[in-house]
Amino acid sequence: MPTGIFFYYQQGERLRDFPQALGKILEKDSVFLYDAFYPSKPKSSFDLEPIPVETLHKVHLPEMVDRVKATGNYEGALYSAAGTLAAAVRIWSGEIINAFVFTGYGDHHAGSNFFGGGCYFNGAAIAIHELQERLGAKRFAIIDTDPHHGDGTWELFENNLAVLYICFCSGSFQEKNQNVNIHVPFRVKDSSYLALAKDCFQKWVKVFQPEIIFWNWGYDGTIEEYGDIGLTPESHLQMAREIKELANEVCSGRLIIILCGGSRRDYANFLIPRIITILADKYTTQSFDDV
Amino acid sequence: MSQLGKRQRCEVCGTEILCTKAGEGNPVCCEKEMEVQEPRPLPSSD
Repeated sequence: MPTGIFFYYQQGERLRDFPQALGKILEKDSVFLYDAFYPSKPKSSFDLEPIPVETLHKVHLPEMVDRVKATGNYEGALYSAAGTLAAAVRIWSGEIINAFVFTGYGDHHAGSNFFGGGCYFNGAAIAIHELQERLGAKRFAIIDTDPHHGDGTWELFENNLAVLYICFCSGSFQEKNQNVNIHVPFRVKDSSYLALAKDCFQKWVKVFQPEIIFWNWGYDGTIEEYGDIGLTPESHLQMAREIKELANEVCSGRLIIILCGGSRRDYANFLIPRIITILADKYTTQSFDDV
Repeated sequence: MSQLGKRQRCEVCGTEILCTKAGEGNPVCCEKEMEVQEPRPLPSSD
């Protein structure tokens, strides 16, 4: 089954080279590109559609949605969350097996009535609500490796037993219902970080047995990024392989990678095509350069 | 010249294609060159 790439065109620097930077990935039969948006083009089945405001209100209070509108970033925020929602629905329907979602604004600092840190709408939360209410899905996991604490996602799911939320950040260890905060030191080696993650996958994700995994992937913890904790770019590729294997083991491969933090264009150009290649390849050992 | 990742559309029959491999030529449909669809970029956090 194919991998879905959900993309909307952005004005910022970080993704300036996309979709061209995807290189040969688009040639693969196992990849579908869904994109947005074209004001003068008639709709087609590969268009990324904005989320109806009624759907936003299932997760975010109407007054918060109004406050986001007032920032001037509403459309970008909407299309960022729309990619995650569309990916989840298409995975659940069996159209694709996994997905990479390009966002211009992140998820995890957006709660029921607050937002900040470059996040406006919580795409993973909106997608989970839709899968639960409309499509009958029952158990979900969110793995958050953006190095900052996901206060919005934590608040939204702290009393929801259907959602396992694991947040890797500098905060102290905390566990409440199915929310788990995993402490990551301010400086960490790739090997320690990956070992910590694998331990958590064993202890929580494999026990919980989610039906779909959302990975809030931020690369701002990479060396010389704004959240630098000492990770190398290669650590993200290894993490992608680990989480793909985890998804294969516990939920038939259903996995959505949501682009979160990170600002460097060169890292984006290096990491994103390689991570999508890992998603799209049957065998995760194949390298991007071999494609 | 076609551009990787760009969508093109036939103005006559409405057929839409995605360029997955860039080349020198331009695709033709209904005896007319297909038009490149121009996306509108939106703001982002960076």
